[in-house]
Amino acid sequence: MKNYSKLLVSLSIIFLWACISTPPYDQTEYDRVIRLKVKALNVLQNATQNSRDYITDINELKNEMAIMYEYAKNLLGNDEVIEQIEIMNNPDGSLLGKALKDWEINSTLNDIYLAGLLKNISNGFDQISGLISHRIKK
Amino acid sequence: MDWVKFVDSVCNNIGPALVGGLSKFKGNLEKDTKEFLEKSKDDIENWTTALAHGELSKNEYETLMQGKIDVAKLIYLKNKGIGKIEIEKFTSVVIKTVVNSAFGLLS
Repeated sequence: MKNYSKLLVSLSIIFLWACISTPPYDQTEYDRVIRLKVKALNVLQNATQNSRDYITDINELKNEMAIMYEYAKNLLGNDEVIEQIEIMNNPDGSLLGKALKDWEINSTLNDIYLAGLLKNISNGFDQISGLISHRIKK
Repeated sequence: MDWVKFVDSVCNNIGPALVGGLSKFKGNLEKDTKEFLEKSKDDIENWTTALAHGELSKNEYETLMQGKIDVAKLIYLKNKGIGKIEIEKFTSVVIKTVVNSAFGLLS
């Protein structure tokens, strides 16, 4: 009987650890990532034109990137998604943050460069949403 | 662009480029490099041709190639996170089974 109690206590501890090691599926986080992907690709499609004409869209996009990051940071055990968003948003990296930075600095982006950026960014967002959608609904 | 020559050139040059602390990555280097290049073949061919024709600058080309590596990092992080989720699912099933069995024996 004593052994059963010990076993149950041990299993409960393991279960509690497992519960906090990954956050549960979060519909809001998933929606934010999908919305940001769609918006980012829509706005960036205009990057062959002067960035000054799209400054409101660019700033809105940056704001949504920051909101997505802050939201992700407040979910316990969300380390991988947080790191993914940091890579996506980094202005000195190679994905969304970098695309916006280059567009603003250079005023326009050439179409071959832009097509490559859009492909990498789209693929990158799929990895973030792919992880979030795998989570367990609790 | 001669793809075979390009892959050989990258594989021949990447080993000597990894010095100091980076030398520990030389183990599966040629295999990993070839895999990465094959998966990204179409894009790399297009971008390298565009670079050769002056349609992409060296900085733009580097950013696009870095983008491929960053996406690979995102895939790694996704798989790492999914691994944790799978452990959680497994643990949950084991615990439920053990608890049910334990209560079955006790009752």
